[in-house]
Amino acid sequence: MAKLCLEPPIYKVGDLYYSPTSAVVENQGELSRLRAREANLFYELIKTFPDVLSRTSIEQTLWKDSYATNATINQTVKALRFSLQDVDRTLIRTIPKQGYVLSAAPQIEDSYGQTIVEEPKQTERLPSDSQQEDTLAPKSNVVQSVTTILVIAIASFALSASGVFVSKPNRISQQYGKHWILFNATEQELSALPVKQNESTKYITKHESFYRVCSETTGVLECQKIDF
Amino acid sequence: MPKNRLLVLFLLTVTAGLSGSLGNQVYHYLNDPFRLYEGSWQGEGAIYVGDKKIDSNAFMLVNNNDIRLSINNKYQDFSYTYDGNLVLQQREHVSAHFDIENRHVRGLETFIENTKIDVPLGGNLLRLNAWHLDEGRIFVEVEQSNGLDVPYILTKKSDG
Repeated sequence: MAKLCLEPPIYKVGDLYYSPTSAVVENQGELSRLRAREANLFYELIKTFPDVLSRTSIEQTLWKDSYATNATINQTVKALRFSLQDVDRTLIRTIPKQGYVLSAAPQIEDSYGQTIVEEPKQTERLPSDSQQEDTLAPKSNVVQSVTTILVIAIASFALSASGVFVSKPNRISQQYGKHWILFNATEQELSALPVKQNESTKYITKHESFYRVCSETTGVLECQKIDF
Repeated sequence: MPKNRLLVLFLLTVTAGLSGSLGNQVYHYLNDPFRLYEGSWQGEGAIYVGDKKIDSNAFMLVNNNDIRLSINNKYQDFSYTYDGNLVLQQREHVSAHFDIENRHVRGLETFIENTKIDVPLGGNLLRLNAWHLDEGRIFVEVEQSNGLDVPYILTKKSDG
């Protein structure tokens, strides 16, 4: 839906409000956009007030590069009256042999609030870029939302599957040189262990009062107890 | 807040929860010890009773959430066997502690009779402590009620 609004400057003519910038007229709360020729004619009437706008001026202003017959001008005035709902010709008066004049003095309205309503009844505008953007916007929002959801899903799946949220117990075995120490040993305890670095690989477990030191000999594990 | 924003927020929360839960299940599946260690494992150790050395052979089978341990102790031509099921009690980063259930001892009295080795009667498997060493190797320490604890290094023999 196109947005109609009265853009400054806004003229109050009788009960009407008119914006020559946007060619929008408000009549009893209803907004509509005038056709280009009607808009220009109405603006000329406003600018000319209180003088009479002659047919010659209308032809020179509205048909600069062409010509207009009396019938053409009559038709344009009739269309403008119809758009302004001035059927009884009280707003735009015909001055015989001279031209046309507004019956009410146009006044600039500074305090008029901008109004937004639906599609105009008459318009010459083609669908604009902003209208296309309006229809495309919901689609792009959906795509963005789906993308976000996918990213969140993949990220939370990957993080969970990698075990980030799982509390891992402390490792209690460690290699000290080539020896396996199968308990939590302090640095001091490690250096005091009854093993030497140049010996064959030892596997050491700790018990209440002794270490069990094992080594492999031809595939068989043999152990000895060493008291603290 | 607009309704569609609330809907997106709701969907985000649900999606994060569901995919997180799914990821957690995948993690537990990938790190399931029964899956990681599935197969048969074997290792040799030795028991000293007095001046006699008894060769001990441990065999562990991990299959379908069940771990069966069998230990065969042999001296010359005589042997006896311990069997039991391992029940996981505590699992740490590279170690685990098991209780042994459904324990059976076969041939111990005959073994003592034939070898005259004074293996304490009434001994049985109590617990097993295991440490992952490196790929395909586990250090296990089998505690027995008679005090004859035996460690083994089990190596993987098959995938089950």
